[in-house]
Order: sequence, then C-alpha cells, then structure tokens
Amino acid sequence: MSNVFGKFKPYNTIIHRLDPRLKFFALIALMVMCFLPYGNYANRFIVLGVLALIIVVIMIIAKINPVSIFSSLKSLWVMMIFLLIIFVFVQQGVDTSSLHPMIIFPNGYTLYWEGLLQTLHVFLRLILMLCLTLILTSTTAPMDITYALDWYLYPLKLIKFPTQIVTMIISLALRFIPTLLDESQKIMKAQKSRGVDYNRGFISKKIKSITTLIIPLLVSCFSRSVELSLAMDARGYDPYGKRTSYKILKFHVRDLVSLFVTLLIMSLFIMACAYSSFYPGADNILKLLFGVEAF
Amino acid sequence: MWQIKTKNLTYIYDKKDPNHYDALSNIDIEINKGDFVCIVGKTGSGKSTLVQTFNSLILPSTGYTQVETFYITSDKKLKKELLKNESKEVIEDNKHVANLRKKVGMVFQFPEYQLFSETILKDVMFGPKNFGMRDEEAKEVAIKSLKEVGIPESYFERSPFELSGGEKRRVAIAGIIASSPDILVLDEPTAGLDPNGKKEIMALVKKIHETGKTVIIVTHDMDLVLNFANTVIVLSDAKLVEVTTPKELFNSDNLNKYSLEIPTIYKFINLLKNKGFAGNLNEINDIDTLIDRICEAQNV
Repeated sequence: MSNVFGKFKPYNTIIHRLDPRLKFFALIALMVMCFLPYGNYANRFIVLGVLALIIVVIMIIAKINPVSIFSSLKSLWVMMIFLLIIFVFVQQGVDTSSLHPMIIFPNGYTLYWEGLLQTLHVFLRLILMLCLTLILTSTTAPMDITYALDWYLYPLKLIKFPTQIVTMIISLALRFIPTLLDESQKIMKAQKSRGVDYNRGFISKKIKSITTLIIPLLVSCFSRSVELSLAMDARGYDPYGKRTSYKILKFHVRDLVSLFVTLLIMSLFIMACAYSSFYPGADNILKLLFGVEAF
Repeated sequence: MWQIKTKNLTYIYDKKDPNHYDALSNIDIEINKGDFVCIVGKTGSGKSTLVQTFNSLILPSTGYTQVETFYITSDKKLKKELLKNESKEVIEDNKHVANLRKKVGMVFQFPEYQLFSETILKDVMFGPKNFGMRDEEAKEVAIKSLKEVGIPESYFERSPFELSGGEKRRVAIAGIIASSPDILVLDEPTAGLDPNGKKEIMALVKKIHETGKTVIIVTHDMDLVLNFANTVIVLSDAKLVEVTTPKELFNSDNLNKYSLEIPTIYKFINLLKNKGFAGNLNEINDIDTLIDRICEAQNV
C-alpha cells in the first residue's frame, strides 16, 4: 500500500510548482465543467472528450501515468454495474417518443439505448473527477492543500468562525493518514502471521478478518490522539490564538498565466453549454463547427 | 543442516517511486535448525525486511528465501524452476502460504497491537483456530501457552486491553507460540520494556529455544546477543557483512564500523583496562569469568 493512489510524489514540474490555491480553484472549476448540461449525448461525449484530453495533457505534464487510473478503477466496477442496472431498468422520463428502444418485452416494458449511454456518461464524469482530484493530490503536498483551504476559508473569519481550528483539524487528519496506513500495514502483517487471510474467504469470513484489523487500529488511534493532544498542550497550543505560517504562499506570473488559461477553458465550456442548451435547433456541436468552417 | 536459506535475496522498496532504494541486496545466508540467531545492524539496514521474507509477508524482488521445502519469491519463473524437481506434496504445500505461516511464528515489534478479542483466552485461541484446530484443541493449547508465558488463570476471561504493557506483550507472544511454530522469529521483543520485563521475555524465549526450536531475534540490544545467541548475522546498508558468533564479533574491531553498541561487560572490561587494572583481562566473555579474574587479582 506504499504506492497509494493519488499519493503526493515530489517531482519538480510546472504543475507541482503552481500555487496550491490556484490548483484548488482549477480543480473545482473543471469539476463543475464536468457537470454542466451539454444537450444531447453526442454533444456531451464530445465535450467530455475534450475535457479528458485536457486532463490527460495535464497529467502527462505532471508526470502522472494516465494508465494508472485504470488500476484504481478496479474497485469501482461494482458501482458501474449498479449504475447500469438503475439507468437501464428505470424509465427515462415521461416522454419516450424521442428515445431509441433496445429491447421490448412482451408486456410493453422497453429498455432504451439511452440508459446505456447515460451509464457511460455518468461513469465518464466520475473518472474525470477522479483524475482531477488525483492531479491535485499527487502534485500538491498535503500541507499546501491545507494552506490553500485556510486561505479560502478567510471570509468566514469575518463572522468570527474559528477557521484556524478547522485548518488544524484538517492538517492533523492529513498528517496522520500515512501514519495510520503504516500502522494498519503492521497490524495486517501481524494478523497474517497468525493465519488471517485478508484476500480469500466469503464475505462473512472477510468481515471477521477485517475486525482483526479495525479494533487494534482504533485502539491505537485513540491512544495516539490522547498522546497528541497532551503533546500539543505541553507546547502551549491555544486553539483560538492567532496563527502565523512558516510557508507564505506567493502568487507568481506562472500562476497568473494558469489562472488565465483555466478561465479561458472554463468560458469555452460554458459557451458550449449555453450554445447547446439555449440555441434553438442546435443539437450538435459538430454541426456548428462544420457550419462555421463552411461559412 | 540448514532450515532457512536465502539465495541472492534482493528487495526493492517502491520500485516505481522516484526515490526507491534497495532494502536488501544479494543476501545469502543459511540458518541451521535449533540455532539461536540474532540479526543486528543499525536502523534501516534491512533486518526487519529480511525476517519478514521468512514468513512470506514480504516477497523478495529477486532471488528467493527457502524455509525447509517452502520457496518464497515474487519471481514466478524462478519459483516454477525451483519447484521443478520437487515432489508432488511439496508443490501442493507451496500453494498454501498458511502452511508456511504455521511453521514460522512471527512476533512483531510491539506485538500488543495485534490484540483484538474480548478476552485474553479467545485472542490466544485465534491463531491455532486459523490454522485449522478445533475449538477444544485450540483452547487447550491456548491455556498451555498462556501458562508458559506466565499469565495466571484468573486473567483468562479479562479483556486484553486492561493489561499492562509487559503483560500484553506476553499474551501476544502466547498467541504466536500457541500454534507451536518450528521457527520463532521475534522483531525487537524487548523494545520499550522495563529491565524486569526484558528478563522475563528473554527467559521465556530461552525456554522455547530449549525445546529444540529455531529462534531468530532482530535486536539492537548487544547484551542480549552476547547472552543468548550462538550465531550473529550482521547487516549494514542492506548488505550482509558478517555471519559469526557473538564472541568473535565483540572481540573484533568491526563493531564501530557497523555502528553497533558494545555490550556492558566489554565496556566494563575496557574501563578496568583504562584504569590500569593489574589482572589478566583477556578472553573474558561472561560475567562469571570476569568476577573470577577480579577476585584472582584481589587475591580473595
């Protein structure tokens, strides 16, 4: 598990050097772009395809292997099947006249091709979101993400919300993820040598083997948190004190350029969305593009 | 006759990571049946990684570890080749890693972290039951091994989380020896214990060793090495540097080179020498001889 999916890897690429606040903003912005309505399925897939292309380019710049995504998808197949069942078997709205029937049962119940497309669409969105988050977490040190979050929470300070406590909680949680992973690794090894097999067996057996991991982990978690709070007290931690930061975030020219690029991409997608949603008769972006070329 | 053997054993942590490194490189060792082996070396020299390959918890990246007829490697081609000339039973045996783990008991550093059951007795029964014992049988061996580690019967129905550190550790060790492994591997069994706890644990290990089992201990405690081991394996920076006896190791000048501590008794002898002690201080390896020599010099 030392090669955890989305773990920060300290390369020195332009994406790694970008300001975490900007990366955070870009993540949210591009995620929203995944969810805008783009009209019919042809449009949706074209737009998501373009987005996927952009994401793959970013991943290559950030030295993340795009193929590695697929290994992490293995755990998502259950969800995929679940989605497929729901979308294929549940009726696609009231007006079915524009849909393409796939299988018609004798009693008139119809399965539509659109159900399949819908599943694919939702799944594509999910993968893109996963990729985006992966880019953020594997190019940004966890502490930097916390700093960015702290910066975004700033407006809450105006209404006397203790943002520094929230940030401290988040940074502590992030700090202890690797520690807990290490620990669970150790406990698993100890239990394995007592004959527990975490990979085989039926679900009931698996649940039982998981408890041999969870209980010791919780126990050590509690004792660790008590120790940590004592250690923090001993060093004079005051939750309401004013915090200064060892690392001061600076906005560079490259950040400005990337902000501009992000906004540009965003506006392009919003245009595509507006065009496909509000233009009468515009059912295909391809048609629009070809039309422009012909003109 | 060797019981555990490693051949060209190399292990690389995080192969794909940009800052990956060798945790073990080209280790060739043989450990004999019935030996009391200590593995020493400074932190990060690969001691723990090495012993974990004995139990197939870590698979060697290249090369292999062999425990009796059980081959441990991540190289499938190599494993196939190794098994080519073996009998059918051995091949079948190799398919189930549980067979190996029953044979090699592994006590980790801070084994108290492995406790999870409601009662101590149940926790100790857990291992044997996993290795296919029936409830009554498991209970029998659990009670036997709990008594062996010195846990009184009144404790059996208590929760393991109520115990003190040393007691927890003894219960955890009971959980391992209950499955009666032929080989007992202990990773720093005395870390974080008070002197009395240390003594008790080591007396227990010695008792187990005397029943004819192979004991392998990873440790930083050189006094322990001197008092108990008959073979010492020294690792340094992922490489095997020496396989020797404690006496030879501590009487050679290599200790500093491997950044190992000097056992207390040798420190004392050195102090005596520095103060100009008149008696003969050569070839002393245990406290009794030392006392005799001192008495000799004082004409007592």
